[in-house]
Amino acid sequence: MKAYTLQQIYLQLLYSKEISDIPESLEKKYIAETINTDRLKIERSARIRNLRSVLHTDMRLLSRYIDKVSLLPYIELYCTSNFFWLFRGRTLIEDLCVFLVKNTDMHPYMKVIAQIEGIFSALSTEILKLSPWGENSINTPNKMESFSSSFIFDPAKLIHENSIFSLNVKNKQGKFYIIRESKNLRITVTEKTI
Amino acid sequence: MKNIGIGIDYQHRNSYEITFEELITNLIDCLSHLSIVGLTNEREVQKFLSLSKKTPIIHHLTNIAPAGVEGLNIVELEKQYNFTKKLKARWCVEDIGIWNIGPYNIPYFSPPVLCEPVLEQTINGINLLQSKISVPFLAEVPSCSFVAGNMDLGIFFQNLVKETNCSIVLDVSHIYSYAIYCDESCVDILKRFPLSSVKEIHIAGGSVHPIHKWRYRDTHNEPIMSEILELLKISIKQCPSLQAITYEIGIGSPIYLIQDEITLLNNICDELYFTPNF
Repeated sequence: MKAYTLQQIYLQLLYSKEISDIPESLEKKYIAETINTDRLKIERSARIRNLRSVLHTDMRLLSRYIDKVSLLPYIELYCTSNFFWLFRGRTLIEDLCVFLVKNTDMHPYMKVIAQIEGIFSALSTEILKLSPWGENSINTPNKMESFSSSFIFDPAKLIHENSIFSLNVKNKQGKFYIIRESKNLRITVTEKTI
Repeated sequence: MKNIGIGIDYQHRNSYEITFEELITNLIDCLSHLSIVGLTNEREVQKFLSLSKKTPIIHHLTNIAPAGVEGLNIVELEKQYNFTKKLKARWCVEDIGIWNIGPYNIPYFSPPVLCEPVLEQTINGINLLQSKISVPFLAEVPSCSFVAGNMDLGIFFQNLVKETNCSIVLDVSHIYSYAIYCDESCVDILKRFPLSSVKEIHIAGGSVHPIHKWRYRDTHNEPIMSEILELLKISIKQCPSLQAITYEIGIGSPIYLIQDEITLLNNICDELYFTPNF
């Protein structure tokens, strides 16, 4: 048996999968024989709730617009999807935000905030990895990112409001910019002129 | 009485009722040492050093993970070992467990699969780690809210010590979590650990799940359970190489609770004639 395979199966069980979802192998057989499947369900729920709480606490914008209870179904969906194992984001928060934007039916305004949150999180780190937001123009790696949007609003309102309906969203094409300046991050928006 | 050190996560520094500076300043004169985890850059290291007032420091590493899915993370080791040197830490420690999902940290680390192949990987990882650093590395017993594999945790650590010659951190809250998971007495569990290699003990607050009695919640911000305090007393008596006891606090631990627990732990050390040795 290989240590890597044993632990990878174990980790998948702790967050995502049922034992029946795992392909047959010696390692799977060993894990299946040495775990308590009733307890596993409880452990997995606790870990997902914990992941939800930590991500919610670490968010700087999106958490104002979605409470912990409402976030939980999305985290459950995220953990049980194959996307959880693709590691598309530069940070775990960005990975979740990529999932929320690309793979859920979240409200379109919320998706814009999620994308800002994801990029915000990534630019706060020193991680030099390609942005997962494929369609965006990446202007300066690790310094500034922008993305086009069908809705615009004043980003300064993001840290003061707590409902998407208070943001005075305009149905206009525009571009959001997330800029890293020394230790601070700034968000601006421009309206697209035709 | 300066029998007890405190274990703090730098990333949670803003979660207390008072500032981090006030927290350290208020406590430092009654602490034997500071154990710090979660330092991510040079600036944070210097800031923490400026608060420590030459109190002995233990550096708690994260994500080095000799028992992780991918094995020892050399890049992370080199980065954090630089901080260890800057801190002039007496030793460094890390819980033996899985710390990552792919490139991301797990908010709540998991014990490894307790079996021969993972033990062998962990031994190789710790031997490699020890060849790369010049301060002692202590392997910490992990918290066990869930267990996979058919090797006993104490036997796992016995083999680890035998093959790597490293000392260990006996986290008595973690021992308790394993004992209730296995429905075995803490004393019996303890007997199977290499107690003569215990150089540091960790203790923290937590609770047992009200319905699932096999599940210990290692929250670090609740009172220390009386059963765990009893286990601490037994452990102090049975660990002849013990040099330090660290009380670990968590996110938003109330200040009154931190002070009360430090007093309580100091009294226990006095009763048992334990004094730290740096």
